[in-house]
Amino acid sequence: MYQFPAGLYSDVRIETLFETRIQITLGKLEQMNERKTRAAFVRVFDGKRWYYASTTDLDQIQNQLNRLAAMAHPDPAILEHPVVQKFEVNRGDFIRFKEGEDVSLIPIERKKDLLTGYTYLVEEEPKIKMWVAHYMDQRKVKDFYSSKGAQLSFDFQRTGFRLGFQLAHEGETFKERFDRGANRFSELGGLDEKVRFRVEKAIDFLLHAKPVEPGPFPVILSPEAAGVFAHESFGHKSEADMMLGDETMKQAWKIGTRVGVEKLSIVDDGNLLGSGYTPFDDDGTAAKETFLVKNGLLTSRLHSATTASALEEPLTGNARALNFEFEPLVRMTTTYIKEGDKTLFELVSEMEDGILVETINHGSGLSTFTIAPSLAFRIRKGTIAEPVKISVVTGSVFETLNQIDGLSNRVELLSFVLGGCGKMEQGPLPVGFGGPYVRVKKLDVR
Amino acid sequence: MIKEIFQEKIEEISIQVEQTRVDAIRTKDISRNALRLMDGKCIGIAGSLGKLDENRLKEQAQASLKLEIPYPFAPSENSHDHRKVELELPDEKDWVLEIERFLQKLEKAQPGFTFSQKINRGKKHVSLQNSRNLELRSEVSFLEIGFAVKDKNSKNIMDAFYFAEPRKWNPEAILDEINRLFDAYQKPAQIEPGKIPVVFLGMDEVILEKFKLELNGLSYGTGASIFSGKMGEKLFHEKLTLSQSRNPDDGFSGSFFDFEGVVNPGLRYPLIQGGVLQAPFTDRKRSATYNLPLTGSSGGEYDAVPGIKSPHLWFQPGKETMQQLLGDRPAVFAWVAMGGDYTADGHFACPVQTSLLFDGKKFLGRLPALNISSHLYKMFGEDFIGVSSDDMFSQSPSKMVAMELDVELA
Repeated sequence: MYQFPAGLYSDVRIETLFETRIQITLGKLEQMNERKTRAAFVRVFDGKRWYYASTTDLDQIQNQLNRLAAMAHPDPAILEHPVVQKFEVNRGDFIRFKEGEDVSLIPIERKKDLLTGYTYLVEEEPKIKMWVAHYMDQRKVKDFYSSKGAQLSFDFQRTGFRLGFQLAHEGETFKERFDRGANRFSELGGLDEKVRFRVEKAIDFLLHAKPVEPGPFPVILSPEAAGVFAHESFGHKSEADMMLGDETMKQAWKIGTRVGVEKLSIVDDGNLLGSGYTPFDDDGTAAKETFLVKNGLLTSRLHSATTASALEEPLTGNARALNFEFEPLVRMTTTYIKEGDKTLFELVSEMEDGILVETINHGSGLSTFTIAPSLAFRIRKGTIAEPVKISVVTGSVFETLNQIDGLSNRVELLSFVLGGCGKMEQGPLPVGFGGPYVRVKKLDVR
Repeated sequence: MIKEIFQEKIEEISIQVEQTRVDAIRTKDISRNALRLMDGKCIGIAGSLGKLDENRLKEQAQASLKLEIPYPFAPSENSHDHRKVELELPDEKDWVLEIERFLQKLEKAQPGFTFSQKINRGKKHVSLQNSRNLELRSEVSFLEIGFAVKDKNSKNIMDAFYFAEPRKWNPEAILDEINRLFDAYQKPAQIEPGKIPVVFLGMDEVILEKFKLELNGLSYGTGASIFSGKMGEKLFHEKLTLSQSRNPDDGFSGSFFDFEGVVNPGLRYPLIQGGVLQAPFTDRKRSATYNLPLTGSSGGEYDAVPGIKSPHLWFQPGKETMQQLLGDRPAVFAWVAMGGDYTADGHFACPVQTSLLFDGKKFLGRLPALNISSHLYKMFGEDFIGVSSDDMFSQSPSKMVAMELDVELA
C-alpha cells in the first residue's frame, strides 16, 4: 500500500492492459499481435491545483507521489475541501469478465479465424476494389487507491471487428464499412447476413446514388445517426467542465430549462454493456444512470468530482481518462435517446419528401452540429426511394431538439470497435451511443 | 535474420489551463520499445513499455515470426544520421511561473474570453537501429499552445481555437497574435454571399482530408481512389504543389525518418507538383505491390508491423503574399470550420462556425455563421487562388491557402 502524503488528496490508478490487433488487407495478413502492459497515473490535489504524473515504471509510484507532493502546498483541512468530500470511497473486487469471457485467455489464432471467416463476403464482390479487415480486443483491469480509502479493482473489455471496403465502378467510388463491437468474443459470430446486407446496400449506393439537391429537408436519423446526433448535439454540452465559471452557460443550461420537445429524453449510463461500459470512473465513482433530458426538460449533466462539487450537483461517474497517460476529463459513457411510440414504417409513411440517414462517417457538435452521412436515401411520398450523395447534414443545436416530431418505438444501442470520441488531446475514447429512429422537421442537407 | 530496434521516448510538462488560469501540472516520461526480426519473408515484432529488455523482446519476436506475417522487403541500411530540433525556452523550473504571468496578461488583454486547455513542452526521442548498419536518431523539442476559447457572452461550449507551435518562447508576440484575432472577433462584419475567396490555414484538416483519403497508395493502387491511374496527369491548378513533409519548417514535429527508416531529400516528397499528380503516398509494401514510388509514408503504433500512414501534408508556398493573391477582394478566413466533408466523387460542403473578414493581412471583423461548398477539382483547380508566401502568424509556420468557394449565410 502507498504512503499517501499528509495534507493532500492523492490517488493512484494502475492499468493492466491486454490488447490484440489483427489486420488483413486484401487477403494478406498485415498485423497480428498481442500487447500486455502495466502502467500508472498518479494524482495529488492540494485544494488549489492538481499535480499529475504518468509512469511506466510501477516501482516508481511511491516516488512519483512524493515528487508531486513536494510541488504541492499541503492543507491540513484537505479532507474538508468540497472536491475531496465529493469523492466516493468504493472498495472491493468488481471483476466482471472472468474465465470463459476474458478475451486475454482466447488464443489469437481463434480471433484470426473469426476475422477470416467474414472476409469472403468482400473478397467475392468484383466492385470492391480494396478492403481491410480489422479484429481488435482490449481488456483493461484498473486498480484504484485513494488517500480517502478507496481500494477497488474493476475491469472493462471490448472486442469486435470491422470490414472496411472501397468500391469503384465506371468512375464512381464509394467507401463503407461493417463495424461490430461487443464485450464478449462469443457475440461476434453468425453475423454473415448482416455483413452481406451492408455490402449489398453499398453496391446499390455505388450504382444508383444521385447528388442531393441541397436545401432544408425533413430528415429521419437511424439509431446510428441519432446516437451520434445525441452525442454531438447535446451530450458534449452536458459535460459540466465546459461550463465551470461561465455564468452565461450556467444560465442558458439551467436545470429545468426546456431544451427539446416533450417526447424527448436523453440518457447517459455507464452501467450499460457496450463500448461505453464504465462501472467506475477514474475518480473511483460508481456508474449511474443519468437523465440529461427528461420529457424535453434539462434534468442533469455529466460530472467529475471537481465539476459536481463546483456546481453542487450529484456525481454521475463520468470522469474518464483515455489511458494511463492522462488525467480524467468529463466524458460520456453510453448516451442514447429514449424510444417513442411510432414504428419506422409510420415515421417514413407520414413523410411526403425527405431524407433518411442510415449510416454516417463522422459527426461534430459546436453551436452547429454536423453529421457526414455515408448511406442516405431520399424519401418520396411515404416510401424510401433512391440513394443520395450527401456531404453534410447540419442544424443548430439550440433549434433541432425542438424540431423532433417523431421517435420510433425501439432503441438500438451501438458499439463500434474502432474510433470513438475525441476531447482535447484525449481520443478516441470508446463510447456507446444509440436511440430509436428520430424524425426531425428540418435540417440543412448539402 | 535482420534485427531492428525501434524506440520512442516522450518527456513532457503539460500545463493545464482552465478559465485562463493554471489548473493542473502533468509530467510524463514514457518509453516505448519494439524489436523486429525479419527473415526476408516474414516479420516478427514484440514491444514493451519502460526499459528495453532486448533478450526478452527477442524471444517474443521469434514467437511472433511464427505467425507468418509477410514482409519480404529489405530494410533501410548503411546510414548513421542524428538530428536535433531545439527550441529557445525558459528553464523548466521557471516554466509554471512564466505561464502564470503570461495568462495574467492574456486575461487582462482579452477579458471577454476564457482560454482553456493546454500548454505542452517537451522532447520526443525516436530511434531506429538495425543489424544492417542503420542508426537513425531524432530528438525534437516541442512547444504546443492549444487553447479552446469561449466568448463569455456565448451559449456555445467554445467559440474559437488558438493553436501555435512556436520555435521560441516569445510571450509578447504570442499575445499580439491572440489580440489580432480576438480584437477582430469583437467587431461585427458582413460579407456579400456568393462565390468569394475563402482563406484556410494550410494545416486545416477540412481541406486536407480528401487528399489524405484519395492519395493513399493502397486506395490508388487498387483502383479505389478517384485519382487511380492518373499519375502524371494535370488535375489541379498549376499553383498547387502538395508534398508530404517531415521537415520541421513545415510545422511537422516528429522524427525526420519514417517507420521504415526512409529519409527523403529535404525531408519532403511532392505528391502533386504544379497541379500534376506525381505519386500517391506509400510505404515499402504499397510501393512494391503496386509499382509506385516509395515516398516514405510508413507508420504505426510502436509495436506494429510498419504500414501505410497518412503523412503530414504541406502546401508549397507561392511567391505572392496573401494580400497580393487576394488583390482588393475581401475574403473569409475560415477560423473554425468543423464537421464538413466531401462526397465520394468530390463535392464539398462545410459549415463555418467562426470566421473573420480578412484582407490578406488584417482581420477586419467577425462574420456570421456561414456554409461553404464547392467541388475538389474546382476549389483546387479553376477556383484556386494560391498559397501565400507569408505566414498568418509570426511565431509558427502558418502559410495560408485561398480559393473561391460558394459562401452562404447559415
